[in-house]
Amino acid sequence: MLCEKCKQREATTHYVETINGNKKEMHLCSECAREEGLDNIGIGFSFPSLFSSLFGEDHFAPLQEEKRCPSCNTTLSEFSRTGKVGCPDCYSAFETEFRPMLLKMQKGDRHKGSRPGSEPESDNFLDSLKAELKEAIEKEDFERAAILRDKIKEEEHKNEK
Amino acid sequence: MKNNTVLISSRIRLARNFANMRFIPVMTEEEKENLKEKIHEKLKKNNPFSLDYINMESLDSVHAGALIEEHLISPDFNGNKKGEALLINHGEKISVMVNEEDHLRIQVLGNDGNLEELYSKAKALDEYFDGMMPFAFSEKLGYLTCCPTNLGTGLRASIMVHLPALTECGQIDNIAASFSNIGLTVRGIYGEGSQPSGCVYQISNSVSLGVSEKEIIKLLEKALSQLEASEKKLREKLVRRPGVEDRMFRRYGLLKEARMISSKEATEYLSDLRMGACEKIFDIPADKIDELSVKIQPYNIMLVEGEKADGAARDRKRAEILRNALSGN
Ligand SMILES: [Zn+2]
Ligand SMILES: [Zn+2]
Repeated sequence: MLCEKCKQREATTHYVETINGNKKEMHLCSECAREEGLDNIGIGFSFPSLFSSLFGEDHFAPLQEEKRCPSCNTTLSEFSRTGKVGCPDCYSAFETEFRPMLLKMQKGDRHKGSRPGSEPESDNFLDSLKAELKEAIEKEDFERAAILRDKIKEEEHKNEK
Repeated sequence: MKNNTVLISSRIRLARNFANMRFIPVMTEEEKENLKEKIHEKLKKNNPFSLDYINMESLDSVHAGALIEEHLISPDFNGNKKGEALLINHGEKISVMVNEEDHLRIQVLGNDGNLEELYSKAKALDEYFDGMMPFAFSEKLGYLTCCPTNLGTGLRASIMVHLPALTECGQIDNIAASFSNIGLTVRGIYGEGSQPSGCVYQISNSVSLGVSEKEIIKLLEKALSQLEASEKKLREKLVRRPGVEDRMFRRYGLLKEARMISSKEATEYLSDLRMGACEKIFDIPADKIDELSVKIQPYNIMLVEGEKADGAARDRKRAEILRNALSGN
């Protein structure tokens, strides 16, 4: 099959995109795919292609209707093209899909540091411990929960002084 | 105390978004205008940081270009896109970009290495804006940003450094590689292609989530002192090489006497002048050279000469600025 864009080279990339239920399909050669920002090999520092590469290739050919953020309608493939989310809720909508990417490009997936309002940092640390505890209990990781409970007690004790 | 052997300037930038509001990529023009207006109204009532409000669409390209050259706004924040506004205190080097990639990009620049002090300034601005409307924040991911590369602290701390000896000895790639292992990104500035003409680099944290603001700042401070030490060691040897010494003096002469000089040429020669100044070969303060490096940029020249100034006129003006600044020495 020939590339649909240049109609000269052999098509090597099969790209499928679904926007508002309209499926758009494209067969491109590697050069045109690169021009369209659809390649995911040889990443430099271009963010869109970086995201594509972190996601892997599979989402380029979604078989069914794509998952989208309920608040802003952004889809995963839109995100992987632009590297940008559409609203705060995207992060909860795509939590599972984003997790491996965050672990690769950030230092873990849990915030450490300041928060809105001018609370001192120790409280913040305590809050993050409590959040971790909640998560551990939800995941039924009781061993970790016990460790966290001890840490929380220790912190609270420190703060009382 | 200021040590500017390698440090030109430092910057703290915080990416922030308001809660209950969609992010820039899906915002309509109307929504962006509304956000601008809301901020403008609040600013009129309470403006503790003396910020001027500038609608970017009404700012001419010369003024916008000059602000970009001063690193006060980012290169594509030039008013070509709709809905952008700038809040700026030029003297204090505080700038807040509204509707850039995020609702707010709070930026504070400084020219000593005290990133902690810059951060507390930025934090005060952060609290001021959070008081306007609450920020999008999650306990788990921290400040929610448009691009996941800025999640967590939303903090990008950076230093702009002058590394002529390390560049001349071909050490930049090694440094960039070892810095990338500890979470720092190295970029060349002012350069065309791979070799930045002024030996000037920007170093910033590559990770913002899972590290605290303090850790990020400590990392940058550590990088700065490492660079200072290794650059200094190399420079002492380099400037004593007869060829290098001669080159520095020739270029100094050129900068003092030329009648026309391109931006590229001037930037390259000023780099040698700066190294010589720091090594006490020339009696010029390094911050004077840093100021000059900005003043000779194309848009800063057009700011003085008018936007009609073409390449040749700018080259003449640039030579004049350099002559006047250096003739006393
Ligand atoms: Zn093609
Ligand atoms: Zn969303």
